Amino acid sequence: MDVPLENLFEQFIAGLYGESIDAGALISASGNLSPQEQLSIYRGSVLGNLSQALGDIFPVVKACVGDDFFNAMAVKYIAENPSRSSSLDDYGEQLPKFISLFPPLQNFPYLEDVALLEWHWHRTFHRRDEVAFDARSLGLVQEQKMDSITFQLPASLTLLESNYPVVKIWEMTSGLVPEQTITLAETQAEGREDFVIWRVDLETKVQVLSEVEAALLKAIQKGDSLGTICQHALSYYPNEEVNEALSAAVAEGWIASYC
Amino acid sequence: MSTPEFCSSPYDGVGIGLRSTHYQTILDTLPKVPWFEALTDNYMNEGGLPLHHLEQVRTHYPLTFHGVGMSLGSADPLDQNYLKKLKALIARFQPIHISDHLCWTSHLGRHSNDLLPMPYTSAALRHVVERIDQVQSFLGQRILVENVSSYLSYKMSVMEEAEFFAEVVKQADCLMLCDINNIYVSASNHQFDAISYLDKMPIERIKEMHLAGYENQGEFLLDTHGEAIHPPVWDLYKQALNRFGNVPTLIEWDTNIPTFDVLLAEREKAQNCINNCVDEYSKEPSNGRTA
Repeated sequence: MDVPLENLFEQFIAGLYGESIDAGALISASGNLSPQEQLSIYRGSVLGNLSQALGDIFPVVKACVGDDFFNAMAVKYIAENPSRSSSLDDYGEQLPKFISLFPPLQNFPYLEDVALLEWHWHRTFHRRDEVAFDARSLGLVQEQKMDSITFQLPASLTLLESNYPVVKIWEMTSGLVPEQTITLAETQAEGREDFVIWRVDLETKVQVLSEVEAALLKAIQKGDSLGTICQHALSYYPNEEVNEALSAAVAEGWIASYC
Repeated sequence: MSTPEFCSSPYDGVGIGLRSTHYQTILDTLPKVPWFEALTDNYMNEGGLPLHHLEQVRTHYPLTFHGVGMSLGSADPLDQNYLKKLKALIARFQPIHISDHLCWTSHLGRHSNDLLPMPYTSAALRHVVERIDQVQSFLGQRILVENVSSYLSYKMSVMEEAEFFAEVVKQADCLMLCDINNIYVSASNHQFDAISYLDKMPIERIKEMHLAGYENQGEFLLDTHGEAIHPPVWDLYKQALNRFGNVPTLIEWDTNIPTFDVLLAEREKAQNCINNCVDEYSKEPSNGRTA
């Protein structure tokens, strides 16, 4: 019997992802193991590798729900979301969405945003290295042209928002700040928060933004000129806060360049 | 950015698989290890800390590149994006050589992220040979191909693994990475003779050997790279050295990774095996092969 390679691989990969296949038609019994048992070794290995990858990328989600729950959830996630890349670093992008729809987690609405934070932290960690913005270069801009310049955010920077204090949850669970008890009602009372994930050299950072900082970065992301940004911001916030936010954006490394 | 000066020591003796948990120890203590092997798939991102550490390690040690994502046996087209990234990494880090596995890992875009065995047929042989040829043409160099551990036999296979492996390497005119632990694991799982496997290898093409620890699952041996190298694998390694002579060898450890001194101790054991073998090997008048 000579099955074309494509047919063999198609059936085998389906079996690895839990679909029902006739293992006996493809695999010989060997030693003490039946064809199905041999296939199961590979299925276990694939599940193990992908679960491990998810746990590595989402350690805070894993700590929040516990190892057993996470691993059981991973089995369901993997069945619905096969790996599409040779790199395990690419695996797990759909997990935040999956969590938001996963019935057993309906009482934990903040977990989707915690997962989003972790996914973007992971991607930022591996983004290309960028040269820090030199604010002195702004001195080259003629004063009358200053209003028309536009800033660019670093490629590694991601702006996110949540109705829950996910940065605090992430920091506490990661052991970056001491743990404290927060009730769901309290988290909702704290209101929506904007936060930013970015890299300074090789260090990946996460920070909650003030209202004016968030407005500023969103306007830069939209491509607004400095003049438009300032005019708009000053109609909502005091001059001092806008200036502080602009300084923070430069000092923290949230600006990559201008043109 | 200035180009860092890379270490140009010779590729010889027993190297160690570079793992992120050991970066700091290695860079702080600069242990006496002749070379390290980098898992290329861990460095295919655009930037960040892993690439930075790899660059630092490279300034002190020669590197080999070892991958798991080439999917040489797959029926999907070769992943050109993967090969381009690999080529860029090669240009940046100047490794001694590049290796990947005699296996397939994906089909129609669904990836297993695991090393799945090939069926041992003439059609599969032609298929893999053609793909290795394409990879070598693209990279502009010969690659090393490694045997994988396996836990199943396909009904359609008409050759033994050793015969298939040796033929692929000869017909593709590539080089060979002989994983001694994998031979032992597969021989035990499929009840074939590991020594006769060694005897079928084309010695002149073997450029590296791998050693690692398997896990005994009772019904079968699982290649976890999560334990110390087991005694029968050491025995088989000595048999391999007796046949192949002084071949650079790697200590691999991927799960339950211990402190670096444990790897150094395993390295020392393997280095002693090589030293003893070279003494014995050079006494044999028929062994004119130089290491």
